[in-house]
Amino acid sequence: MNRKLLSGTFGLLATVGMVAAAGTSGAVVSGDSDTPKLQIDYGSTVPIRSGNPLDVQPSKGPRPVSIRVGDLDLEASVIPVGVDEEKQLDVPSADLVGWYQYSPTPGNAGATVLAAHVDYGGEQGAFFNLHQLEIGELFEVELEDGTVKSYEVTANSTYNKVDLPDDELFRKDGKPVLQLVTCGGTFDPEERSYEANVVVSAVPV
Amino acid sequence: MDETPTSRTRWFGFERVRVDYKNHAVDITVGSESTWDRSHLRRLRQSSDLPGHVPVIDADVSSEGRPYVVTAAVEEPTLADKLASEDGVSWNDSTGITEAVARACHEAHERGLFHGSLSPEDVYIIDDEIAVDGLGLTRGGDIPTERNQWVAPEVLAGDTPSARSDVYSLGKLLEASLGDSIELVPRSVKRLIMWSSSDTPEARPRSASEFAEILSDGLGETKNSFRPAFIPTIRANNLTADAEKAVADTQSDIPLASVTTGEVEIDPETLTLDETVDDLDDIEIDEDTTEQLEIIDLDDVESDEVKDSEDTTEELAAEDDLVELVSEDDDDVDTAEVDASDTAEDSNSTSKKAAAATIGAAGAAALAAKKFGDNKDKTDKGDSDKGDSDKDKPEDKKAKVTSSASKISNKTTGAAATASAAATKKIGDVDKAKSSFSYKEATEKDDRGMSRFLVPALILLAIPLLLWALLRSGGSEDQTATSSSDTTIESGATGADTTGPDTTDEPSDVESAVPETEASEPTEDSAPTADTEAVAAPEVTEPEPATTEAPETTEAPETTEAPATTEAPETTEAPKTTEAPASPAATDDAANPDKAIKSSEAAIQVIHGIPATPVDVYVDGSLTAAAFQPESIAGPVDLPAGSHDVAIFAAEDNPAESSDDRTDDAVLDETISASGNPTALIAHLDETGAPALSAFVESLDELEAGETRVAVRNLTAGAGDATVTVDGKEQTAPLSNGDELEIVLSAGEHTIALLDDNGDEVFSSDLDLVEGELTTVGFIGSTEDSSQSVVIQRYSGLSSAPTAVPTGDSGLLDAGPGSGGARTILGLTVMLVLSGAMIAFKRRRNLV
Repeated sequence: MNRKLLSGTFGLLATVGMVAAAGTSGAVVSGDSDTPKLQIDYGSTVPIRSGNPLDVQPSKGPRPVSIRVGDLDLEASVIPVGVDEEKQLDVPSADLVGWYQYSPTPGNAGATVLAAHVDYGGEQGAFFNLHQLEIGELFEVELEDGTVKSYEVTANSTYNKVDLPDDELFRKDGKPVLQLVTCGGTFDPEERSYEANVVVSAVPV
Repeated sequence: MDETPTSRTRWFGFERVRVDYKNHAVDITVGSESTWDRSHLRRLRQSSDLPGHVPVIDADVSSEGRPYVVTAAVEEPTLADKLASEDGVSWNDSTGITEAVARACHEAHERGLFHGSLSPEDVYIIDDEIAVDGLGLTRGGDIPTERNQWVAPEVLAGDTPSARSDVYSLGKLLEASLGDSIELVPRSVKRLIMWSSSDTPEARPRSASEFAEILSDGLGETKNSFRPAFIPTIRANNLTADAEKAVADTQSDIPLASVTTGEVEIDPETLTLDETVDDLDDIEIDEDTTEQLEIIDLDDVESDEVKDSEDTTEELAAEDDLVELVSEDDDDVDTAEVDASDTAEDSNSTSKKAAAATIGAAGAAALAAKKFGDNKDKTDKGDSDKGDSDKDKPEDKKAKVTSSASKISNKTTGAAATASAAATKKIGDVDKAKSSFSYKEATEKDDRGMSRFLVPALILLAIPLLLWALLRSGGSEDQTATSSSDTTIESGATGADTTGPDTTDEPSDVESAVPETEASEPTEDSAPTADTEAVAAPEVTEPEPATTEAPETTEAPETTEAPATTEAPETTEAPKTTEAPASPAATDDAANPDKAIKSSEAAIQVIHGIPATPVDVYVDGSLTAAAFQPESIAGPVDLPAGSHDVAIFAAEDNPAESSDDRTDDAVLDETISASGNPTALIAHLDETGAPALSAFVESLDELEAGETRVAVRNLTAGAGDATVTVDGKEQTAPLSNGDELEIVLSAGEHTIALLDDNGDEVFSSDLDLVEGELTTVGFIGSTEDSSQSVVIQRYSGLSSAPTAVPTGDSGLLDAGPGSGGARTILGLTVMLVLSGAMIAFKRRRNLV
């Protein structure tokens, strides 16, 4: 971000500049739990940044292309997915894992979401055994640029679907975390649907 | 758009449509061409933060040229409701309420907004707070007769509402709300009621503030205190479209009178013109109370469909060049051609209407109208359009107006209003002069076309431009409020809108010296400028300084023009920026944009969209942005709600820390009023290439999963009624300079382009529009010198999660009780601990 403070009043500016950095760009990126509200001392120069698209456009890291979970004997391709017409996450077919393309790429701030079926059309899905993944276990995600990121499981939770912690699960800022999502809990044969979601959280190691 | 108008009522003679959104509702009040002119709309827009009033969310002109005002829908009992209820209202409450209403009215009066027919129906009581409805909307003489008891006699007679006419209403309101309890109040209060109810405006308390003081003094501690309510506003995504629809739906209901061309001359002998006028909408002619105006009939109105040749504009002799200057400078005048109304046919004296239409259509200008009549009845607009013609004597056309002190009201701002008044009001035994300038719209257009790039060229060179600044009305406050505004400051001010520095610019020739309200008010006579407009036009003399600055530009660390150059250094710092949308700091209130937002601070971003003109910006006297470069964005600045001084100087080396120490003249010195909404202030070129300032309140409503919102703004000179295309597909509404179009798209890469009148591409930008974000796309620069560019901002935090993650349909997983069980609880705990610190991020909308 462009914080060229030309007035030379850097004494005062230091603070403002920092705060401003957080307030404008760092806010969403940083892992701070709370971004201080921008306080402007009128005697200070406000942060100035570019409005040029080249500077403002988002930069996306390499997207995930596959996942390997040794403990589950799982290796699956990852494809980007969005939402369907009902704004439900558009989970791909049974043997694929979907990267929710509006979530950050692995390693970036926020929660990267990978979702796959537990079962689909009578087949076991890629995440059929996800509920067995235990805290502390490791797995890997390969990115399109060939790099491989390792993750350590920090939580394995089952939520009733209506209680899914959306804000955490689809968090767009804060510490990088990977969320593996599938279905679980009781199956409702009439609805052809599970009542719960299994969410495995993992952090980069 | 599932929003549907749920009710349609008539209000003040206007159509009012209530639109229910998910979490709030708005009232869209629809006028006709002749009710509110653009400067008045602007004034209304800028009133959204007025405490104690039902806030205006937007006030604009539809694509069909009809003005509308969007206010928050308040569903609270009114004072009338309370009075009618079983419990009634205690006199302690009555007096307290009235005092609060008076104070609220005073605030509005300070900004040139008057009520006209204040009644208990207009006062909402929200616990111990009050909010007044209808402020500034009575302009066209559309007061329904049932309100007559609240209306001052001079307003009934056709005068524009004023502070003193509202004081009259306040007296009536107090009297009515006291009812029988009037016996209980101190004598001073009874006296106040009598005093305020005087038929002679001068005999009343001079201001609502004085009224409040007297009331307060008389009551001491015995009244209950009420406070002005601050009603938060929400601007729905579709608001503009919905308003457009509401307007379109009422189109057929209200006959429109209009004319394509009008001509008015002003006799220099009979008018003194003191004020610098730079906005046609706002010309106000003040007449010395002792002067006489001679109104000369002119049959120049071209109105094809008005069959009766009687229609005419009334014309003041005038200096031609004066008028021309004005029109050159005006860029609000785009409404020229409007269909003449059929309803004119049955009128044998449509002069008023024609005149009104002229003005309304022209959007400006002045007309001296005079009406005779004994009938003090008011009818609503619809009726009067058809019916009052017989009351207009033909002699109107040639009217000699004697400006007797008490009778002349010359607030002609926007002519349209006046005209409407003329067309609709039966005017009592009063000689009344409405002075307005009209101008030769049709021919003027060409002239403007020619001058359109000349002026810019000059100004471009010259003016380090205005950045911040919101117009401020009546010598006091002003603010930004709603979006999609064309708050172009553009060589200055608008009727009673600004208090900027004097201009030495062209428009300064145009002057007037008529108290904006009652000529009879001595206090206002003495200081007409307070109520009328001052001008903040960039000075023509400024060019040189600016030009000399030019070299500096290149030396400045931040270069000016070529985006590539400019931004190169920044790019290196950019990773964060690119990932982090330019979002104003979050405030607590930001956490819930769907709910009412109430904030004491406003995050303001200032965008410099004028090529090649670096400036220094001072806020409240202190240097806030130095060498502020084009295509860059300053902020967010959290300005505490309220007034702030903003001064802009040509950028110089080592600029003084205090504006007091600047030896050069400010290019712009304005007082802005910050409201609680995140706002982008964009300095840019208007259609003609003159500098302008537009304010946009950002639309930060939550989006659904996978969606992104883009706000495309035409801030380019020479693009005309531009068309926005997304991925090559034309979007519906044409976009004129200063307007914006909001579109919700599926997130991802899109090409956003602006096409000019001819369908030629003005500029195009390939953008990656991020899910859950608002991206503002401001097309800036000028086609004249090929300086088109684009400035974008990103606001994040608007996203929603997918509605569900359906990941199983076969039941193969034997989910016994043990499968989740204890582990789930443990996991949950861990997850909570982990995420605890992050919860703060949860719903940060990053915006106020």
